[in-house]
Amino acid sequence: MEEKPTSVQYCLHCAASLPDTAKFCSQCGTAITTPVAKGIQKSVYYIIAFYLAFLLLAILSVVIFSNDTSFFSEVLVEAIFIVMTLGFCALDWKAIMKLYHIPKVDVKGVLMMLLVPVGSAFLVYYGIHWLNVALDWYDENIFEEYIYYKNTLLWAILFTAILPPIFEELAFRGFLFNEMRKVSSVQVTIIGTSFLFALVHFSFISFIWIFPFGLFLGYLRQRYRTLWLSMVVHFIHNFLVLMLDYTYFQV
Amino acid sequence: MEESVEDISEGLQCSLCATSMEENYIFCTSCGYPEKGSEEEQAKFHAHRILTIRKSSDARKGITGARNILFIIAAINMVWGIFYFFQNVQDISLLLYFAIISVIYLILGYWSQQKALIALILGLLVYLTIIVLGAIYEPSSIISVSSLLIKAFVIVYLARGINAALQIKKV
Repeated sequence: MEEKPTSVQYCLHCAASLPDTAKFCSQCGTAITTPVAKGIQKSVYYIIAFYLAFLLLAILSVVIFSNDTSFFSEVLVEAIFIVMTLGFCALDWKAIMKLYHIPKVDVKGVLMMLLVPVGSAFLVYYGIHWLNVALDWYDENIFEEYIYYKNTLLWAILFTAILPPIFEELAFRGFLFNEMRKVSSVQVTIIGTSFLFALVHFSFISFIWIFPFGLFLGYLRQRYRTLWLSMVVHFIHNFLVLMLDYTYFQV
Repeated sequence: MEESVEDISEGLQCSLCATSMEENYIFCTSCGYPEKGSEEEQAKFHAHRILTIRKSSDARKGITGARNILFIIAAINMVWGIFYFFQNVQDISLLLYFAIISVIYLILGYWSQQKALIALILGLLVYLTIIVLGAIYEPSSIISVSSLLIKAFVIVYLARGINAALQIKKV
């Protein structure tokens, strides 16, 4: 809106100059299509393909783990996930790379980045534990899943606190966010990406807390136009939950 | 009203949508009507316009159809939840599971009235997720022909709704 309202555009069909408000060319009658309209369909296909890839990965990981529950399977599934994410990001590499610029963050941003995940980690950890007890469900321990490997703590930290924040943020707050932003408003994009982020964890109890958590991560991504903050938040949250599981496991 | 500020009395107007036109314009820049074209061109334009209107009303029907499907799935899930709850010795977790799914479909259905495109995409993806989860945890759920047909029907309907929402967004 900085430009004058009387700015001109040109007909792509016959190159006649037209007022900015024209929807049709005054000389040849061709409809003026904005490039945005053409990109919408592509973005919609990308969004659906992206999610289908995650569904496929879920099926694949079930197949892989049913044959072999060794450390190799863990690495294989993680590697497929990373390659898949990078593959999608390659479709729009330039826009993704912009998100890795060092942001200018105000005090409010730093405080949110450090305090919210601490609060959310404890809230989610004890909240889920309470719910599991109340509903008489199995209360899983993340750390326990890794005790069959050597250097348990190291692998548990790598696979739950380091890799997911890096690549899930890249996938959902990077690629998916960018594509959805092309077909909808900021608010809808934040809600939509959080929704799919929560859905892809394939757990209905997780959905309840991952959805609002995703909203917060999406808000940070939009407010500071970077992935760094959401990566840090995601890391602190996952790390604290893992550490709580680790402490209780020791006891 | 000869002395109106906008002074439209002097300028040309599109005879279809009354947008003001410049001297040298052949087509209206707002609706594309060939004001100075031949009669044949004008007749063609009218025919094309009717076709477009019909297309967009078809698209609206497509969206409504997809929305109704979402509401129907929501209702079925709720009924299942209640049914299992009374069958399986008051197991609250199953009821909770179906209730959450049902509420998600309901919200997406309502949301599709404002944001048809995204709401229907999310609806389709939720549906696919539940099929995949069902196939993983209960492989028998996917095998029967009738259930496959129903699933294909729902997917086609939702996909048509997404396509229709795209069509409207493009206009």
